[in-house]
Amino acid sequence: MISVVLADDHHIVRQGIRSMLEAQSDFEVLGETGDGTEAADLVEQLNPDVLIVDIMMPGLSGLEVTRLVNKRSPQTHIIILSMHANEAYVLQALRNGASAYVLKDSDSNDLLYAIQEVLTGETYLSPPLSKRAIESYIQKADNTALTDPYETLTNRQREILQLVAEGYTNAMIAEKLSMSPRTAETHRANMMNKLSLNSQTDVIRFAIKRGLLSLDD
Amino acid sequence: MTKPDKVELGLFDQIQRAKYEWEITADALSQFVCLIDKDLTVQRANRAVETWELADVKQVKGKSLHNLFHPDCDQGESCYLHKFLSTLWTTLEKENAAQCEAEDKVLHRDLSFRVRPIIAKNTNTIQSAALVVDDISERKALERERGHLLQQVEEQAQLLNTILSNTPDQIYMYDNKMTCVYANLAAQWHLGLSEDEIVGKTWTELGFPQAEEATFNQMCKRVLTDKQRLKNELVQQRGTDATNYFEYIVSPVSGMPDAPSSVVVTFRDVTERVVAKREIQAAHDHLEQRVAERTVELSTANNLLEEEIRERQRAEESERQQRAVAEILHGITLALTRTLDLNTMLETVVNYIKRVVPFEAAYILMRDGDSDIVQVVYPTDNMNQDIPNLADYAIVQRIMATGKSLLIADTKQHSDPLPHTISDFEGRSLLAIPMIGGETIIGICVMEHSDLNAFTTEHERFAKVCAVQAAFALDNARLFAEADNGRSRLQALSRRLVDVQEQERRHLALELHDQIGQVLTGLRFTIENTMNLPDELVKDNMKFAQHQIKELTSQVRELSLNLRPSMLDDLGLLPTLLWHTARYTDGTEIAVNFKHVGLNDKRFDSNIEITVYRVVQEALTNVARYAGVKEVTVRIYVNEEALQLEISDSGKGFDTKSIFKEKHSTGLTGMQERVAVLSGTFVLESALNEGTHISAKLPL
Repeated sequence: MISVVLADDHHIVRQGIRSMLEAQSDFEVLGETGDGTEAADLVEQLNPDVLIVDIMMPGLSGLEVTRLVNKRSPQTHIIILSMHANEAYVLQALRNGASAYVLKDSDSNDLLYAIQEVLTGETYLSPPLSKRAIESYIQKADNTALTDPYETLTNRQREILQLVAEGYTNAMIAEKLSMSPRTAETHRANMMNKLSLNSQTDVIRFAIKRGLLSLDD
Repeated sequence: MTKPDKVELGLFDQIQRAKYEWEITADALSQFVCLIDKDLTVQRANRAVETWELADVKQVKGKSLHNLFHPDCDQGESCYLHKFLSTLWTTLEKENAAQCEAEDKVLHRDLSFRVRPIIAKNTNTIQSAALVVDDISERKALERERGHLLQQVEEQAQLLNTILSNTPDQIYMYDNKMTCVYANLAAQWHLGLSEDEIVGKTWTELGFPQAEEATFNQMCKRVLTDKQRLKNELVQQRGTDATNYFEYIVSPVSGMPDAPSSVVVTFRDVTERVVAKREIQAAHDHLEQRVAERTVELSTANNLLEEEIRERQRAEESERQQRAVAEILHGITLALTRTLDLNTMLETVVNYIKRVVPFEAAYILMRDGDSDIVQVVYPTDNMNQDIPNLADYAIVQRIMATGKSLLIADTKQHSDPLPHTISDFEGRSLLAIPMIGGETIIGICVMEHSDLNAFTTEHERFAKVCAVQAAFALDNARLFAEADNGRSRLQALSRRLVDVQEQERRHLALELHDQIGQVLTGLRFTIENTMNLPDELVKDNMKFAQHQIKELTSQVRELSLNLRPSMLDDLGLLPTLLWHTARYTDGTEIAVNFKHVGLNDKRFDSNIEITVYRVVQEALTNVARYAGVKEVTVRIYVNEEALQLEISDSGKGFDTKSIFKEKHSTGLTGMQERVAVLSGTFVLESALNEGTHISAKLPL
């Protein structure tokens, strides 16, 4: 017999899953709950083979429950049941220790298949989710990170960086770029903050280093 | 000897006479003289035998010679006399004489024996012998004494030689012709010459400096005459870098009663002593120098101390002045706290500054709220509504930008135009002080005087201090006004919140009715139909119902996400923004160039997260609605202090002055308010056809 605990804040969802599982001969639902905190305690107490948990739950989110259960009851396999067909969620769920991520609107057989898979130690994701999609998501997320602070500067800030390096005061910058001295000051402060520069000398040094300022002028 | 009875003048008599004369002569001798037979017995002896106390002269005949001298000789054959006598005859035959000298132990005297043979003329054989014995004790004693003395002299000479050879001092002896007659071992080594090579040479010939020879010779002569020793010094170069120092003493040769004909010269190498003396001198000089230096240092320290004392006096003087200023400041502060009315405050400030700064006219310029307009706020009666924006004046701009005060000694020499238009007064000197409240420059106090050089840097300093105090009070007044303003803004915000809620509810109601309600209705029909359908069609119908339910699920999810993306709470900003921008691009075909620094796996206060999300959402919505572009840039920069957010496009843009006044909200006010609630700064920049740039900074 495969023992299961169900955690979903909707009674109707739990009932649906229970009836589906009990229609199979080799499943036994040990307990169910609609509260996140209770779910972690119940698993610790009943020690089931599988925990089926929804992400959106009062008390603790399913992701947090997953993290807790993974830590406290590592022998229990965790299956996330979610309506979010989103790689970011899947990634977080897997990182927190889930073995499977099943979409609520997928075929009901999908859940049964997922249970079989996780019991053999496999990871399962409902289609259209896939490991490749997750990897590409990670790639995409990584690509948004900038390592060079200069890259974070807006065109305006780059213009101002140039002018500050050339010795323009806020008032002169404001005049040249047709903005108020106050705005110029804000841009200048933001620019310097982004580049971690503290003084005009720092700005000039940075500009020279980046080749923005030629020494011959 | 017996005297003959009768003297015959014949041969016999002559013989007798001769015999007698010989006997007398023999007896007069101090030596022992005797005649001996061949059997070594005495024939006859002179009277010395009696003075020597050997025997009576009359009884001596026939006595053994040995026995006469040694009556009880117990030395047997080892006795010298025995030896001498036993070989006497053979010796006489050979030598014709025999002699011996010996110390006679029996008689306790030194004796000399001399024997001559008496030869028979006819047989030519030795018949007897004549013996003369001399007492040589005195001579022997003298000889022994001399030998002893000689030995002593020898020993002394050896001792002297040893001393001379071993002394490190060079010792020479010069004769009265100034040539060397002796040199000891040390001198030989020093000169590198043997004694033979040295002897006979003069001072210069021995390698001593020629320049010194005359001195040396004179010294020697004086020593020879005065018999007093003299001392001198000599420096001798050895090779190129070594210098030896000598001290030499010329002494008369002592122990000679007459004027000595030679002198002894002793050279002592005193190089070490001279070097040591020099070192001591150098150390002493160094010490002297240190003392001098120390004296200079002390003097410097003393000067510094005096300078410090003067400095302190200056500081005390300055402190007195400061106290006077502080009293004025205290007055200003007290006066200013009594009111929150701006005009009263300005009046007070100007009056107090007048106590320390001699101006003839003064006016105060202030920035109008957050705008860039600078206006005259004092004096109120002189205020002229038609005067241009003073922010256009370069000097006003400079002071506003730098916060540095300006002192113009002569306005006629000053190139920048001055804001004289404020009043009719045209001063010849001008002092402009920024009024800095907190971190911002809130205004400028300008003072004028009709004289040249009316203001000093001291005035500038006092005015500055007063201005700071005044600025704080003015800033407080401004904050008070702002707080007042804030209250009304809060009310407006609350009203807006209610409006927005109502709007959202309307939207939700519409959505529920139009979308979800429709699908639910359809679903109801589908299921109701099922009951009337033949069994074979039920399955198809159920499949359709399933499809409708899926549709419904997705619509509900969309609606829920729009209300508030649970993802933001579950996963944080980065995944939510990625999801949102992807969805945005799907829906609008506008590419989002989203980049960030420091957002990875970072969670913030949920207010910050939702604000960032809403600002991005709102800004992107605006871009889609108005900008008419194909790309928008989103930048987020996170460090320890703040989160900085920027959304820029290069689209149509708009007039920023009119946008906030428009009735229908573009969500800009909402964004601004959300950012303000979190004490952040919000800057909107745009101009027609120049794109829009929104930047917000939220402190963390």
